[in-house]
Amino acid sequence: MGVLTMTGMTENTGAAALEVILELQGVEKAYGSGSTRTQVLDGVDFAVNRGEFICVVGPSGSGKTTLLRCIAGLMPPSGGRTLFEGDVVTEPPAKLAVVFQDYSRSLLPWMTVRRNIELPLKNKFARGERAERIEHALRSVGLAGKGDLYPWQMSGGMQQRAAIARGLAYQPDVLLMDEPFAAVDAQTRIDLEDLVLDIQREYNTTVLFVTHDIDEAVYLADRVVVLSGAPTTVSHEIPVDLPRPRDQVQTKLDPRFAQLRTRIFELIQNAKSSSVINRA
Amino acid sequence: MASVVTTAPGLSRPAWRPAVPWLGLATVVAVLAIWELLGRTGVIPASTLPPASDVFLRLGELAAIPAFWAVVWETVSSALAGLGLVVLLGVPLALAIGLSAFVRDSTWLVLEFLRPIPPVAMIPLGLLLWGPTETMKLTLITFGAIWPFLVQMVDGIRQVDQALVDTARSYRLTRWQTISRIVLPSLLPFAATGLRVAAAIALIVAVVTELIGGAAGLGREIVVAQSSGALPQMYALIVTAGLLGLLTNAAFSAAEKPLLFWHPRIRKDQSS
Amino acid sequence: MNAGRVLSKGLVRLWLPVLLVAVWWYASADSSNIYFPPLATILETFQRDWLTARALDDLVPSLTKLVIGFLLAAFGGIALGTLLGLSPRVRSAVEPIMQFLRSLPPPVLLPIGLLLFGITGAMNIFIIVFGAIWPTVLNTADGVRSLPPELRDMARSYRLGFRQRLFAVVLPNAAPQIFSGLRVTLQLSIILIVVSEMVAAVDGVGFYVLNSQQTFAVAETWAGTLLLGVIGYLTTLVFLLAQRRVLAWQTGMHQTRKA
Repeated sequence: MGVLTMTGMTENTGAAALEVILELQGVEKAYGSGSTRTQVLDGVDFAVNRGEFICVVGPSGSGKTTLLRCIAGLMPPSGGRTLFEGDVVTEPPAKLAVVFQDYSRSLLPWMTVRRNIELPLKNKFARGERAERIEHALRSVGLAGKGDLYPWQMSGGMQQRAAIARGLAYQPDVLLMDEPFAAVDAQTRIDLEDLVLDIQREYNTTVLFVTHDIDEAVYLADRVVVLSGAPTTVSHEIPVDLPRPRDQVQTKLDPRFAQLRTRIFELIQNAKSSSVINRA
Repeated sequence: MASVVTTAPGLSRPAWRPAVPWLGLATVVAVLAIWELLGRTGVIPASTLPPASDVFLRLGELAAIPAFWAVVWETVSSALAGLGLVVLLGVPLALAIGLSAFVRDSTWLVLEFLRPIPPVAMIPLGLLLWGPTETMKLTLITFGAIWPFLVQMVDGIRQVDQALVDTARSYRLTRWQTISRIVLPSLLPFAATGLRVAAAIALIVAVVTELIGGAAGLGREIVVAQSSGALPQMYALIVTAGLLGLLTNAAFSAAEKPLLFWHPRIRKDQSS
Repeated sequence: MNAGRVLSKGLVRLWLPVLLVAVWWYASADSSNIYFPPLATILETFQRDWLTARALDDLVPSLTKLVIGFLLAAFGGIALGTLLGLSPRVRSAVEPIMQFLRSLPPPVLLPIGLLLFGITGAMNIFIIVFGAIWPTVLNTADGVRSLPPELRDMARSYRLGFRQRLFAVVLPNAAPQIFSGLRVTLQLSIILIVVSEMVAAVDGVGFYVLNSQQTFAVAETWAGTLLLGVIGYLTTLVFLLAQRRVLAWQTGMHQTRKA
């Protein structure tokens, strides 16, 4: 096995930076029953430390979205469990926010961006604090002064910024992002990647970022979790030892960057060819 | 999707499959049982609501009488004839309005004013001019039912996909081929929607003209039964009117499937 | 659009109505046919009966009943529809009964209303609510059910409460469909108030028109019909204005997409 490092059982090391915040223990998910039963997740194990930036990559059809829905508490796993801050996840945890892939559908078109961001805060904070958080989040994503626009008055990139601002203002301990930049153009994508890195530093949030783009994963992550083909398990965890802050030009010119992406690329190719679906 | 109500021709609502099929049947049985019980125990006097069994027995008896079917046919035939007139008048009107901006702008104000007028408002006028006759009935049915058909058809004509017409031109189809192979099939879903709504209105107006105007048909028989105190008969006739409505809906859904098998809505129904 | 084009568009829209009214006016001016009184006479009657204080006696009761009936049907319909949209079990239970009731041509409810309430305002309102509620119920149920899964996930993962989910997510999403149901409910409400007043009332516009016809007051029949037309037109206008306000976001979204 080419596992470089296995993390997870690290809560006793004493360092605050290595406190486990999210832990998956043998998470399984199957759809259907009897002969039509399809095993999508087949015992996924990994852990996320507080403040870490984790990217999850895997071949297409490897159940990335299913995995994320299990972690977010939107779907009960059929086996195993997810621990969030030590508690078993049975419903969406209060300190976890999700940025969905399809921003055009996850923002409410009948509300301004400000009201969209405010909606989840209504149960948590008083009016004054809400306004402050909203303005702060809008500034952080570069949408200061745009709060009164409706989502459909904005470009795709701006809409995804608004969705991120909604997640930020919620001030979660963990931010789950499900292929958030899959639908925006290349230039916007680069801007948004750097935005997410800045934000993670500013808010010191833990980020779990699902993507199918290997470059993006290596560029963003402290550690990349590589999934196998279906039925899915964790095939490898690759620590990304590139220096921070990252830079679109410098980081990507680093020979280490090329090494890492080649390694992950090979792992995914292997995963594809060993996938049950591809053999079938 | 909810956001496209303004443009997409809505066919019959998407087939809704009951989560627990027997529940609906159970409710029907329960409602009938409660109705029966209320009548039998006298909680509701038989002079207001006779027991269910009396009503359905009467309905059974009626079904054996040819005169009953003649009455039903009076109502149905006027509604159908009205629908025929709607199509005869509606298609040329819709073509003129849909294809010519001048006609569209010229008629805009007149149509926008006529459309919301409740068809029943014309009943007294119709009675005044024609008395309780078939002419009166047909005029009012046509006036009431033409609007949904016209609106849908104009919408449809304006939406007939320009791309489709361009395709036709690039393949050098003749004018007749363009109309018969492209324009008409594209209009069919709009026509179906318009006609379905028109049919419901036609039935309502037919019954009202009979109810108020005293034209022959189900509506008049309901009034007669009521004023002569034949309540089981009155309720049996009301149930008949409801069944007619159900039948109309069912007929349209049944006709839409084979005619519009290619329409996304129908395809979705079948695959789901 | 410049002023000239606005003007020419206005002219194109106006010529036909103006022509029609003019033809009616002159053709009927010397009419001795008792069924077609001169338009001038009809308008005089209209003014005498409906633009003076006398109008309050007939107009106010009709409009009050119409508005109460419509509002009850609208809010009741949205509430019932929401319940049916949220709970497939409840919907399974009432579906057959509901399909029957909505297929019933609503005016046949009149004799039943008469038996239950007699000739009262309550009866007119009962007829409206019971006869006109169904389009709103069914459209609301379909609209509520059509919540995109992305929004459902969003609402759950941000732990929105039931009220927030309902009023900020589910109902606004269903609003376009709810409004097209409400429009049919409004049309049926107008039909039903007129019919029920014709059959069972001692005041109101419907009573006036049918009574005029039965007493061969020809000009009054025409004037009353005209008034019903105006009421139908104005109510629809008010409704469309309200709809445009509530659904402003949807109009904006469509225009942006097209542009």
